Amino acid sequence: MKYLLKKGTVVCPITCKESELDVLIDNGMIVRVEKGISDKKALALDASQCIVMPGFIDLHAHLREPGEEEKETLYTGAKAALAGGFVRVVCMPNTEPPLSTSFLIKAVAQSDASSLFCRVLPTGSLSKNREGKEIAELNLMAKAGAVAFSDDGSSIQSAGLMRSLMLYSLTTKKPLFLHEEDVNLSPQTCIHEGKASFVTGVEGTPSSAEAVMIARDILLAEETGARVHFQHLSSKESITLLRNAKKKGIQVTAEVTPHHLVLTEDETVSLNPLFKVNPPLRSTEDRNALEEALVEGVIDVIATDHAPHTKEEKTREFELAPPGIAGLETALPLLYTYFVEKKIIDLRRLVEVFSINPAKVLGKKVFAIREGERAELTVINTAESRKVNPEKFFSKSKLSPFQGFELYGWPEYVFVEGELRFLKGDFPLEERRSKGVD
Amino acid sequence: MKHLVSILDLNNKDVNKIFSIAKHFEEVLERRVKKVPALIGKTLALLFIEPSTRTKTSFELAARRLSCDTISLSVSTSSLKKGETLEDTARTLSSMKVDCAVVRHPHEGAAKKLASLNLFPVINGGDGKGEHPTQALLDAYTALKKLKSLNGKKVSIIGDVLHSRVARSGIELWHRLGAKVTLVGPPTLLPRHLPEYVDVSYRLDEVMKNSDILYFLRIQRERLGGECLAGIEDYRDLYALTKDRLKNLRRDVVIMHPGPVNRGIELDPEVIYDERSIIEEQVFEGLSIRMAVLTLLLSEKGGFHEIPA
Ligand SMILES: [Zn+2]
Repeated sequence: MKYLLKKGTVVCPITCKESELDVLIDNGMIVRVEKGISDKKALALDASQCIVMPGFIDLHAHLREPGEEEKETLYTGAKAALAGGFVRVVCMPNTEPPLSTSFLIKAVAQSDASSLFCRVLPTGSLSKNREGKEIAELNLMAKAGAVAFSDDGSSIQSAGLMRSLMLYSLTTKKPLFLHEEDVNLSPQTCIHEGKASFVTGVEGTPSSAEAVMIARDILLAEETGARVHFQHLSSKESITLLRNAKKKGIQVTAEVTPHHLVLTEDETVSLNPLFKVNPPLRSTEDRNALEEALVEGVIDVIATDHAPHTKEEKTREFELAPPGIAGLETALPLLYTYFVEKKIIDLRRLVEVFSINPAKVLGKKVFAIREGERAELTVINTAESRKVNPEKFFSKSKLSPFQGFELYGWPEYVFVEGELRFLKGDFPLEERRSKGVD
Repeated sequence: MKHLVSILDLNNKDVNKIFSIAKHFEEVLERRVKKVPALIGKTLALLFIEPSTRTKTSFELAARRLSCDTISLSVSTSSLKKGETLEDTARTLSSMKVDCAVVRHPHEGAAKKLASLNLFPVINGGDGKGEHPTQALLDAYTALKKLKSLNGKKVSIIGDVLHSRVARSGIELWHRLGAKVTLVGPPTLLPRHLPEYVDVSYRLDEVMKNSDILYFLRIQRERLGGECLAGIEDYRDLYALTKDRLKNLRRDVVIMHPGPVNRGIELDPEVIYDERSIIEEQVFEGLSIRMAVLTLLLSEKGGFHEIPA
């Protein structure tokens, strides 16, 4: 099969391209990138209103399988990720049972959904069964396909165990993805200690609950040489610690979510459970610090922390509702509209935080747009705006705090592993399969 | 008076002397009458404050082959708690005119403390995570016999190096005899501030091809599945000499283990009796080396440095 992407603005920091070019894809491979290609055998795809970028990678999603299939499955999650413009999605191990054995890792890594939609890359739990007590079989899980290790949702409270985990992880060369939260400081209410806690009366989670653990783990990362990646940073204190660590040359990386970049604690004073996330939405100063860090390069990656829940759960009282937002399908348009359109970051930086840096964090080859590369492409339309309509989400979770937001930069075409898998809201491979063509 | 508390107590001349005397005793051990009168009238105390069958049996038999009497004090830690210190015990033994003591103790430094009293020669039979010099000597000697020379040979020590007194004594001795030491294990079980001449690897598969000697340490089962190690499967996949790995192993490699082997953990049962394994030879040389050490410490002139070869 041949495809010709016509007149798209190709943005590839690896090849330093940023101009209107055609891209010819033959048999899954990029064969030509230049102006004015014509090929009658190729299926032409109009990209004249589009930006053509190396495929996007989400380092942080909860796909809920096994055990919580009412919230999401690998199938719906991989489909939502693809619709969100992602070619790879890293799923977290806080399932039921947790992804804590090579057997379960293999099952997720070989999921059928990966060959139809976005490829799902599993993380294994850091501690055995996410209990925070013993080391999980990191080596065997890595061999079975785990790309990283994480106890996300919980934080390793014991510094001794964390140090051991970092040391033991060196047998695998895989990164540790760390959710940082000291439970001695965090009441786990998902309300920022500040204006939100003062107005609502709900006990707040101070920024220090996150920052003290970041400080601890920067020290341990330096000491052990482990590859540490901090998940969903939320506070300015954490940013300061991270900035200093990077200045010192310590090998740590960090991600921030679109919701922490766009929303603040002001949204939580109404105690609307749609805005309940962990770590909590914090103050305007915190959000500003995150934005500054994104621009500066202190933040390496944007990750969704896609955490779908059922409507029943997510519409309970704030205190009882589970934390989390279905973020896969809004991340890219949010970043495009709020940061690229407003010229806070450029397209090159967008590609860095969504494609190049996530690949580097995983220790994988980065995607690039040039001859001889397999087509891993995220193509977004920047001319047409659309309102966020959660009812139309491909995720099982039809809820979003961004409902009604008017956004630009929606995915138009997505090539995964050389295949055109997303075409303006359609899923060609899925259709072909359901028709029994394959 | 001299002691053997640490491998550092021996200079290279001492080591060679021990080896050459051991060679002599090997012959004795092959005789029909396996006994010589070298230490007749002497008494060796076996002071084992931590259980050990192998080391104790080996020392006891070595002494008897030399016509040396032995007395065994399996001092339980509880009797020490009753108020009698290690020093009290040693002084009592000294009053009873004991000539030498082997000490096995759960705490590092115990043998050294006893030696510092200078009541009689003290042999460290293993002190906590400290040292086990006779094990290091017998290991090096067994390998030397097999390989003729250790110069430039690559020794990989695999497993729980951090808690291993065998490794602590061994690293120094292998190095001194010209071998290149690589420690192989999870970073949780490797010492962190190593001398420059020691290499480190986290995976057995990385060193298998290049090793002349694969020295497996005994893993303590209670460490599996805790804060140092994941479960047994993860350990075996990383560090065990399994049937599968045996297939791809060099023909001329030497497999060693201080014993007792946890079958199915460090080594598969097939490995123990593989032709490349010298584990049984290690046990045999344990006797000859300990006979040599006892002779050197207890002969009339006393001490390593004074005895002519
Ligand atoms: Zn988290």
